[in-house]
Amino acid sequence: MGFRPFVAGLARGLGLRGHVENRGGEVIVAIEGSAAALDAFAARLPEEAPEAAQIEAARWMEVEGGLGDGFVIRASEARGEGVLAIGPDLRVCEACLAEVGDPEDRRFGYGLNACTACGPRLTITARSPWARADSAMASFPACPACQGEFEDPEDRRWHAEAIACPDCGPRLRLEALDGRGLAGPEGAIESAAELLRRGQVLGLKGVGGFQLLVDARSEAAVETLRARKRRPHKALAVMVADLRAAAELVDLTGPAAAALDSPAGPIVLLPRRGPQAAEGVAPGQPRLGLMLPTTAAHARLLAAFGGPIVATSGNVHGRPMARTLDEARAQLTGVADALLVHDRAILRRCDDSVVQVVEGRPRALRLGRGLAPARFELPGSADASLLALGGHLQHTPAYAGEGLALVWPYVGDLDEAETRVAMGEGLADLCATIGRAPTRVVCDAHPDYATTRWAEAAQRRDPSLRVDRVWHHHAHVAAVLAEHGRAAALGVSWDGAGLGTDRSSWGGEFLLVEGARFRRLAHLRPFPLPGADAAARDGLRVLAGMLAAAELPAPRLGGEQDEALARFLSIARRPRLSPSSSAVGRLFDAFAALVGLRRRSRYQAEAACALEHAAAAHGPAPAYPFGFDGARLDWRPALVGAIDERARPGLVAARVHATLISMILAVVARHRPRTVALSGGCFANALLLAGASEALRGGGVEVLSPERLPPGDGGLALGQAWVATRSEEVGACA
Amino acid sequence: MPFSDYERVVLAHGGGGRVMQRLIRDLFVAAFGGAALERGHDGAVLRPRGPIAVTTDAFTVSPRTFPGGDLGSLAVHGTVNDLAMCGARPLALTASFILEEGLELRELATLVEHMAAAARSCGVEVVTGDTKVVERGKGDGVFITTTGVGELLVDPPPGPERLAPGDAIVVSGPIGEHGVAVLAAREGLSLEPPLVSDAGPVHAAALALVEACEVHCLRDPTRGGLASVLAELATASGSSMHIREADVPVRPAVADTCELLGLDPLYVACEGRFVAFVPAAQVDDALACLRRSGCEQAAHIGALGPASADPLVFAESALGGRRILDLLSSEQLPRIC
Ligand SMILES: [Fe+3]
Ligand SMILES: [Mg+2]
Ligand SMILES: [Zn+2]
Ligand SMILES: [Zn+2]
Repeated sequence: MGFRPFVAGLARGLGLRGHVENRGGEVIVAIEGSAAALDAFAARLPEEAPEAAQIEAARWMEVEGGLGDGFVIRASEARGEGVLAIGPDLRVCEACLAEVGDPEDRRFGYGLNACTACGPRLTITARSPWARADSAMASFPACPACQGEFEDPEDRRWHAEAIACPDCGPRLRLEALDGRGLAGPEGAIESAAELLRRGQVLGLKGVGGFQLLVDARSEAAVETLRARKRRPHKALAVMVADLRAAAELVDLTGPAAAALDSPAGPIVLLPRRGPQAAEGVAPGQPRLGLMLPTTAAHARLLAAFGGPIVATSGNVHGRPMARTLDEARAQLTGVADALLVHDRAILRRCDDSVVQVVEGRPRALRLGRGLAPARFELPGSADASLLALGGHLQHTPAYAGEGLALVWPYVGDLDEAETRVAMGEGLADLCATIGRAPTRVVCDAHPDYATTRWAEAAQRRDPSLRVDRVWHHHAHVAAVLAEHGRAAALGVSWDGAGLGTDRSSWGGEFLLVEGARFRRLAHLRPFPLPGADAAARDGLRVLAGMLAAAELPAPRLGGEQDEALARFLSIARRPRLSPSSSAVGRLFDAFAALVGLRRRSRYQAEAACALEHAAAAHGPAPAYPFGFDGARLDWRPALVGAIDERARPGLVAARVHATLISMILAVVARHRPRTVALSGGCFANALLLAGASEALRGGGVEVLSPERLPPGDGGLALGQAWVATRSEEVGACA
Repeated sequence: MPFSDYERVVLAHGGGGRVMQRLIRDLFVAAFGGAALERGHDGAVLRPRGPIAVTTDAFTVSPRTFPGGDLGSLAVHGTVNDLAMCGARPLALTASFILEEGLELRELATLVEHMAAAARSCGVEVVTGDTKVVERGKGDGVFITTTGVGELLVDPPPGPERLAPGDAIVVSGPIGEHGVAVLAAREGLSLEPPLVSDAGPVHAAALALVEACEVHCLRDPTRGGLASVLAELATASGSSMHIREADVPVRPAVADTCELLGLDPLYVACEGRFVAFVPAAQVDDALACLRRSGCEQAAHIGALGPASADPLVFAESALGGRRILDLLSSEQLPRIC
């Protein structure tokens, strides 16, 4: 990330002697010089360090003197060390963009410009540690000019492994899906922009895979894209040229602007304003996902096109995004009208990251380009070589060893066959890339997760492999503890479903987590789920389950809904057809259906999002009454209240949020923890997260919540690794 | 009550004395008939002409009577079908009964009559049997175990070891009717129109197929349904399988009920269907043969892919999406988080 050259430059500028090296992800600096210079070095190091190089912790110790003359960067150590020092792919930096825009510069117009502070890493690394020879850049020998910059300690590309220029690096071209060339490096961008202007769909080979681009202001183009991609409903991300262009589409706060403009360059969900983007980009949604140009090619395309562009992953619904040109031609024929490609290989898929800003802090919702691999300290893993598999949906694995955990990019939902195959390939690739075969695998306790089955198959092939199963909600809370470096907390673990120790479906849990142990202190009063997973797609089923559990008569909802509700009620009263659930996620679905905001979720959490947005639009409202007997939180009084007020969806939505926050406060009042960890997919709900955090802090409780890790199942793997390395006893608790 | 002075099963019915003798003579021997049983000996002698197949199955179903069948007919058809899946013509059955004290003898008589009728219509004789009585509360009314012996029609017989890449997958008729009908009966769901189980004998069609084509493997998708059978056989064969969901016959009533209950018809049990694996070149012959044998809705649903280190079953939906059919834990545990 350009950190070592920065250290060297700083040390040399202060006349210090010594060296800097990268050892297992830690940068070791040995310096010698005057006390004043050493003090200045210590002060300026954190101040001036490149933005992408986060200093997690710095330790100082005295060493023997005699470090020699001058200051040198030591080469990366031999293979086997520093294997966890793989960085994420970083957004093109200002300096590189300036070169591309400067007609006098030898990189003028170069779409793949990069330097030590920006450019691809993870997606072009064949093997760790990061070095050009082991990357997709190996097939592009540097020209003398680039080689000179690489070797010049004064140059900003000193030791930039991915150094390239129009003479020696990969090049852009535009081609038809059948491989026919349409434009070379000079005309490719302009031709691609022209295609977008005509309302066509452009396939673009990005950093971690192909993307599909259309004019974000054209309803027709967006509709064409949706039809061809078979993605009728879910919001699409939009790429804009800069923060000014972003501010025309969304309300931009300081922290949001910083997140957009960060080296990671994620998609940031922001409040939509005005009709500048087509309604079809995010139909009926108050938020828009925006990102800034990832590469110089993106930036040039946006400049040539002159407006916002929809930029979504290059796949057809249910399949992983195309990575190679062959995959793109096979999958995107009939979807894209042309492909803007380069000839640098993408070695592994990495979809765009998604974040939102809550309480002024960026919060990851999906780990991908720029954020993954995400590195966490994991003290218990010093001697481990452990693969944590995460969950079944939003599969996101992690590797732990040497005191660290690396959370790999998000893969997808494993109900889809191709994603399932990609999971197997991805896990093999992860191990090959870091050059370690895991001796332990950790998975969820659910017997039917694809990840659990993978772990069992791996153990059949190698009986010496240790497999640990970690309970779903234990892992959710543990993920937050791991992220914040804590050992224990009262964990609020709310999501849609996870297997509980009583083999019922949990998801409204209050767990006292202390390392590898946990105790279920309280939970939502269970209700039957008629049709099990079918209830996650139809809130009316959940409502029927709650009505049956509460022995309440069915409210009249009108239309075909009354008949459906009656049918679901007849199933809900039969326990063998309706497994029990205590999940808050399902509660959201039921209330959204009750008030007519959204009955069917066509993608995960669609109904819950509708309820959140209605509540946000309504503004604060008092909680409904609820019961609490010390163990079970009884939602029945709230359901009665909501049935009465069901003609006012915004009010009910707001009161449901307030009720859930009051439930947290009730459990906290009883158990008086010092620290509460909020975890699980329900805390992707910004209103719930902010409301609960504020209320808890108001009561003097310290709140830990997910920031660098998604709150949902995308964060499970780190929690699993944390639990597995807390104690040798973990097998017994699962 | 011609065969007993009792209305319900008592412990003496298994006690070895006169009460038991009378039950055996007046109920079992009377119903099953046949020279072997009437000898009153402890075993039967069979004189097969060549290699034989043997299979055994324990039967329990709740409720014991369901639309389209009952425990008695099921206990015959299940074992006859298992023999047919081995490519064997059923010769003889044995039957053993575990009765719970308190079972109504009238119900037992009906089950036994239906068993006997099923055996007669399959052309197979019940040659020996056994009865035990357990105390009230120690059994679920009645359990029946049948063992079947059959003559192999072809040698080597069809079996998982003969599955080969490229084989076509054929299913003999609409799936899921048994599981849904039994579930509806057990849960007291009123379905309109009511669903009838597919439970019945498949040996005539299966054996006709074995004689007409080179059948590599036969399997009846009972517990766990079609999906579980395919998942098991994919592992056994070392090849992935690919099926097209739109080509799998499912009656609309079954599809609707499954949709309502959140069930996947591919995982619902059948008791009168089978899956056949034949070389791709013979798939049309196989379908023609099945249709001649009364399986009008037999369908070609997919094929085996090339050998794979990680053999999986892929199901392509009508919309083009693909999913993997796993062997599930058979608990209905929600996975959508
Ligand atoms: Fe979860
Ligand atoms: Mg059997
Ligand atoms: Zn740069
Ligand atoms: Zn060059």
